[in-house]
Amino acid sequence: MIEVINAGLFTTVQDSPGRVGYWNVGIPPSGPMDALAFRIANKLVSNGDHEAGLEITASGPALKFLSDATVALAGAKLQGTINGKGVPWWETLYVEKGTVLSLGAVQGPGWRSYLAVGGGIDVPDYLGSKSTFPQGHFGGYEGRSLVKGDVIHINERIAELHRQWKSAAAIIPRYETEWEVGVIPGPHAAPDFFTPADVEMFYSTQWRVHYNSNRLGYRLEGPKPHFARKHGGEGGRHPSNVPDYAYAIGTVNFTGDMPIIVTVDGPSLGGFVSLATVTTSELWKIGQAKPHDFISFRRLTVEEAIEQLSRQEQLLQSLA
Amino acid sequence: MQHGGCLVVGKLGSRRRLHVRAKEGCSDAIAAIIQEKPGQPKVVYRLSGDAYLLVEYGEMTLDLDLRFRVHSLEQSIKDIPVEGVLETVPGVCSLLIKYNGLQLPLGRLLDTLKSIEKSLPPIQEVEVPSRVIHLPVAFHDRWTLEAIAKYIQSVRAEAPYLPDNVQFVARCNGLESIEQVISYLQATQHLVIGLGDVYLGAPCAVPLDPRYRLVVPKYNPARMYTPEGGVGVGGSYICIYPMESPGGYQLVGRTLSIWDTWRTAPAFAEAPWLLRLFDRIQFESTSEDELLSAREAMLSGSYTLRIEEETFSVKEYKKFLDSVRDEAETFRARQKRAAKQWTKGY
Repeated sequence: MIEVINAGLFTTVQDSPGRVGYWNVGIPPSGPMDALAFRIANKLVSNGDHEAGLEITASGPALKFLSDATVALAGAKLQGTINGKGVPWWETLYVEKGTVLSLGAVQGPGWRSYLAVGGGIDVPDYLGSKSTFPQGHFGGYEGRSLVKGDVIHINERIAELHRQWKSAAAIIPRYETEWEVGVIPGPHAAPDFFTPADVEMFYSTQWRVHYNSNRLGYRLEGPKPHFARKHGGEGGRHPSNVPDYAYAIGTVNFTGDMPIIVTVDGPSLGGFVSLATVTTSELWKIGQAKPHDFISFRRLTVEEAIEQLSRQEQLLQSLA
Repeated sequence: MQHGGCLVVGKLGSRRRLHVRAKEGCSDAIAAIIQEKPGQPKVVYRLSGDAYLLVEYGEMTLDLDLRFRVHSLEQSIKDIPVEGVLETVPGVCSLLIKYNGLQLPLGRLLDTLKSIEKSLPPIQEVEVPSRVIHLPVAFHDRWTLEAIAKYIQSVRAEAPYLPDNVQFVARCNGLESIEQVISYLQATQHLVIGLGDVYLGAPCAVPLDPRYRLVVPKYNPARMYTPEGGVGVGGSYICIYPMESPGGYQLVGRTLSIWDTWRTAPAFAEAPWLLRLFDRIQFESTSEDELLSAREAMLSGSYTLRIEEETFSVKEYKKFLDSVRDEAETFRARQKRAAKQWTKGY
């Protein structure tokens, strides 16, 4: 068991790939914003991908371990101490009963950190997942982010069997403040929805991450597109309107003039055009982009994206 | 590489290449196109990342024929089933297909979809299970007015749709009174064509009788607060809000909960969401007090929703549309005149 002494800015229980299979009724998958770091953390404690861990945003919690545990921290590096000493990142760590892990503010680039615990965090499944969706008040720990005084259960298991020290040093992703993110054009690009000049602008702009960006969506500040159409036809008045359709997670949606990247807690249906969609293997970068970071987009083909995804999966397997 | 005659280009194309694509009317976001021919609506296969494909029918209009085509495609993908397809999500005239690109390459998915297209039934023959669900609504109620008051206080003090959304719906549609709006909302059933718009089983529903199809612009900017159970009209859709949330539809009333996380009420025995695709919602006016008791009774399990299990036949619906064509045209003309006048400077 783990006692929450301090909750941090926004700490939630998540699992991967989250609550999938309900996008058709508008239930988002939730799950980690940076699935890559999350999965690495789980592998470091010999968990399966689906085991639940904590997602920490910007500033970490203080946790007291009420039993022995194997843990791993991955993602954005936070200031902090464990039993008064420095906290190792990206490697397996054994903690004894009574240990206090005290995490502070994010140090350097990146925005989200992950804590995996051997055996996984034990909260009830809701629609097949332990991921928290705070807007719906379900999943995770009582459907909300952690607060001081919560006591989190860990799935107890034969710890010795899994006591294998691992390090992800060889595959630590590079965190930056200016992110280059791979996307595939569409579903709505030029010339039917955007002008060729809009498209050039989109790929050459350094977009600034708006402060009002979260797990529902990432807003981007930059120039305004001109759009190829004068209005949205039957979809609505604005040229960014189309009849409602289902969004892909990672799609770069123009609600009016502002691009918003739909992320893991985002809406499933909407009536705004999307110029490009972040590829699966690059989606983690959005989770690590913090407000006022810059994002630029690089065009890929589906084949290139699948090739990258395949390489990333192989890299992850090297930790297993 | 080549897909259905449409170039799919990798790295940022040169200006010349963009120009060539523009001339062909083809975009690097489009993986393939099937042109319209008798019995086959136009299909545009749009890329939506490396894990999703958006299949779009027709020319992006709200046409129920296209919505039923989307349904036929979705059914067919489920019935086969196509290995590597993970999820499908219908929209108004499109279907989003989530697939595992490591297992199912895009080219093979496209080939499969194109061959399915040839086997889909003619639209007129489509029949779907469709429940008629009677929902009590307190129209023009205190919760609606409270939400609007909050908006006026904290977001925008003056707008054509303020201070009374129902009044605005009346003006936009050439109706005389709030009472007339309320009677129009009950004069037609509303067909659920999308779920989760927005979130948790929220229905996107269209009025089936064109003589009573209200059309109204949405809020700009959106509300920060909408009561759970709120009923809204936006564009030509109606929506019910499953949870307290932001929202952009004009609020006209409040009904029962359509989402129940813990599934305590019998209506939620199968799932935490109440409505299914192609349900027909029948609104029935009730008082605020009666609604409150109904909402409480629903939670305690003592409220019985009136639901009739029926089917919806496209052929029958077309016959009905033909029979009301002239009246529908008259109403549309009246709406157009009114909308011009009342949404000026929106």
